[in-house]
Amino acid sequence: MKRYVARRLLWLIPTLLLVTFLVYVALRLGTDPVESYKRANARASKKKIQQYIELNGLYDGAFGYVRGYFKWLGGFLTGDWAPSIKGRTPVWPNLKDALANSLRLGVTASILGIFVGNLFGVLAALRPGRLRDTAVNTGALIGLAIPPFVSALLLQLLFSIYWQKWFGYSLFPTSGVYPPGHQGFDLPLMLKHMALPVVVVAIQTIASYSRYMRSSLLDVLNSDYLRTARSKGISERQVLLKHSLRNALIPVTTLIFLDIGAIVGGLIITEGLFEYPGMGRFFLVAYGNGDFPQLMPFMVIIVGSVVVFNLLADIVYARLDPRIKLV
Amino acid sequence: MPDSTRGSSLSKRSAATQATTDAVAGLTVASVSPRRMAYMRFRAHKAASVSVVILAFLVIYVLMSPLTTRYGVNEQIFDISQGKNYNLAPRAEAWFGTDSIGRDLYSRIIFGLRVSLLLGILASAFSLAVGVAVGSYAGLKGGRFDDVVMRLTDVFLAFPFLVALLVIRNVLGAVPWITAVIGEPSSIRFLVVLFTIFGWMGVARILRAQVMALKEREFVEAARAAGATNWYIIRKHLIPNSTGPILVALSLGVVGVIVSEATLSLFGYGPSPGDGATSLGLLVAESKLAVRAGYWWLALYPFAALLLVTLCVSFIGDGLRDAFDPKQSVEQ
Amino acid sequence: MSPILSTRDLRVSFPTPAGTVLAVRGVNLDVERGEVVGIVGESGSGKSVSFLSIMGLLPSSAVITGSAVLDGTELIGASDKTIRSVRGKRMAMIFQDPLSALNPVHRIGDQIVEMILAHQTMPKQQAHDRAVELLDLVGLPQPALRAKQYPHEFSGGMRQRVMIAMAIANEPDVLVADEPTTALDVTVQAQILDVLMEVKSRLNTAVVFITHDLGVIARIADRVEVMYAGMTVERAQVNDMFETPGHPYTRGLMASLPQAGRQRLEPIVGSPPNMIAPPSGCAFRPRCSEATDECSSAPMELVQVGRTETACIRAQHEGAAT
Repeated sequence: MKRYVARRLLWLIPTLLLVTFLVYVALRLGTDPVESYKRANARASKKKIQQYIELNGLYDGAFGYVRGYFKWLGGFLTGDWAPSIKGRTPVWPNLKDALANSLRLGVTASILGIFVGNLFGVLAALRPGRLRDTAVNTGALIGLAIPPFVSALLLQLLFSIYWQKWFGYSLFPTSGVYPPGHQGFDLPLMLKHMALPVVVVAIQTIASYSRYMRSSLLDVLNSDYLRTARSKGISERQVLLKHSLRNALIPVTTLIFLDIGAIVGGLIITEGLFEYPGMGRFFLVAYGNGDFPQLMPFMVIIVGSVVVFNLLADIVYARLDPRIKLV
Repeated sequence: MPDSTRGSSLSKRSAATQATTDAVAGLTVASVSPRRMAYMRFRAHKAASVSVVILAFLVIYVLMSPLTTRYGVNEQIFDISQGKNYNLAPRAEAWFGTDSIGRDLYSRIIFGLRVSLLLGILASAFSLAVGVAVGSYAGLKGGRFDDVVMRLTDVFLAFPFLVALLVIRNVLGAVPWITAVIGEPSSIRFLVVLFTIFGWMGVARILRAQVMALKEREFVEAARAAGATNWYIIRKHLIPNSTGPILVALSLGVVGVIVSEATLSLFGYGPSPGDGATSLGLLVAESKLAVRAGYWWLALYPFAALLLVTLCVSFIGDGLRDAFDPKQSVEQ
Repeated sequence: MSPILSTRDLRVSFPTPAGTVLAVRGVNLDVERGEVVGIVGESGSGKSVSFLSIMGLLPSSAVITGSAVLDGTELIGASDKTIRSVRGKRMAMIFQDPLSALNPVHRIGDQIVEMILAHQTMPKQQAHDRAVELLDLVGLPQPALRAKQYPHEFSGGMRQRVMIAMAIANEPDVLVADEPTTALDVTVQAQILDVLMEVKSRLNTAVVFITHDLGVIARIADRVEVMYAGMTVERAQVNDMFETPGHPYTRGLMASLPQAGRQRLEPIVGSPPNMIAPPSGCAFRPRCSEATDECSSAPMELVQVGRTETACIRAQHEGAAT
């Protein structure tokens, strides 16, 4: 086991390097950083443009790409980040805020999903075929089938626009974390702003976890070892907790880790529709501007998070299920 | 997306238990073909059965579009000189109302459905083709090839879907010879290619898991002993035994593509096939502003159509899953 | 001495979409203390279902009637509390496929400890030590090491030893072994039977050995019950059974065994009956070469004929005539 972990960790660095290099190439090809810079700074002098190229490692040619990547990597690792092409504002503060907001949104929705979703899944699997099960299963299917933007728009319509029309005030705001111009930290206000986006995302997470748990538990409930457990004379509760749930939770735990890893990436659709200043919004804006100095760190953080959490998911799974052959 | 390769090996029903149950159910005598049993289980799934009917009706309705539409896709219901023709609420001349240029929403929805369904089916069919081939080969061959494929898909799937989608879209669009071959980023062809690039990986993973579970079985060993090549085994044995997961992947794929297309359209990166042609996603995107102004029909009907399609396909996918994996079905 | 386990008119049926399956149709069985009873029958004869029903391990849709008394305690229709106090303590079961019967994510030692602590109070460490002792008893090498391992790290034979160790942990009065050797190699089979017999003599446990393998019966059983279509069709001491089988089905079973010197195997023609609508009278009638019209209304009751009790009315008539 220890060897497996050590080996995976060893592979982590090269994997991250390779992936970020691919990102670098893709972004350079796709967004044409130099042109974007010129567009954003129409009156930039040749010297400034050259500075920009140097700072971000945007050399030409195949070898230039490799050289450029490492130049950029050096800057990134030493904390010496190029500023955004718009107004030369530093990247990290914005990125940090976006990250924090996405984490708030994502973690809340995930917690809801994990607790509520798994509970539903368990309840459904324990009474297969009954109303509970059909309700949960169908509900989850519907929840997953509704595209997030549909639920987002519907909720916006319902709770903001029409509520306003009918009741004269807006129950839940539809944009941002705070009203524009707000300073400082205000929890109840933040929660109000987060309410709708969280619901939209939670629909998906709850649906997803309940299906997964239901499926996993049904698998377990059909096993022979439950019969053996019962034949020992232990109580039904023990059978459920020590055998059924314990075994059913294994694949679900993997899902939890993968889910957390993906939170960092933000949710472009939902954030875009609610103008929520998270990682998704950050990306949309940066992408729209072709803002290379913003896009690269953004991608690295996302990819890094997913790769690391994938690794964690694998390790945890190996720890929980002794049958896994560690290759 | 949950990784379905992980959960499936959690338990196996012993042959003895199955024999007892079969014997108990008097099944030692009769036997029904697996295909027929799958069909019967599918029928037992009420939502799926209803969805098939609805979807079939919808598809036929859409296919007969010269007959079922009332106006052309870019045609105004009547000329503006005869009065205001835009943003009209539903009425006799336009069952679902009109849009901002006076076009009949009902007809446009049918045309939009056609485009979206086409996109969905084509993209998932191609994804399926590539994914099944790569996934089953990786699962069967194992070793180096499998490792590389797995790494590759892991890396790719590490990116948030939309982020990767947009970036790849740009990359493809920026390389001239690619656009020459597959069309401009706003063409249907391009989108099909784009979605295929993303779709095949999920399918490949599923097939790989399925093949790895099957390849230890005797019939594979027997085929090898008879001298079959890998591809023969894949074609004749492994794929037919994987119809379940393949069909499920297909249905999920269609939903995914339709939703992704709608999402892209929402942000302005969707198709623009020209001549006023439209897709469901575009109709949904167009409705965003209209709704604030109170033209609810412009949102309601496209949304309803979108939801109808995604729900039906999702239910069918669930029914298929039940049909081919009885442990998950509810009749126990 | 009264039998340790006694069933009277035990009946089990299952509702299925195709109709109600009558799996067990009136079984009267006595197991004496310390004896080894072999239950022989094909798949579908009801042999496993009978004992699963006594232990309450059937799905809740099963309808069970009749009586099954274990050392004075009625088990059919008993409360959950009663059943749980019996399971694993006074009556234990060993299942056919030990790989699927053991929880794959629990250590072997822990699974035995669970059995112990279900019915005895003692500190965990003591229970663990006891578990290791049990593993040693069933002949597992390096028991302390093995206790920390997982089921998939064991071979089939070793897993079955573990199941035996687990089943005897609380020294039950009756041990029901449901085809424990069917999934094993012949050589391993012999080892497991030895372990079982060793354990039985040590604890003086009654053993009910369910199997379709006559060879195993010949080796270890004191007494044999032959089941067909949910009922007992013949009962005898093992030697008597083999020497003078009274029922055509029993004779058919023996005839289908390979024997040195015999050229051809003689299978029993036909297939097991449909248990939703079993044949009237003697259920074996459609496959019996000696059947007469009377058989279609025969009551299938066991009557002593010669050295065996048989349900075949022909044998009964012949026996009476002698």
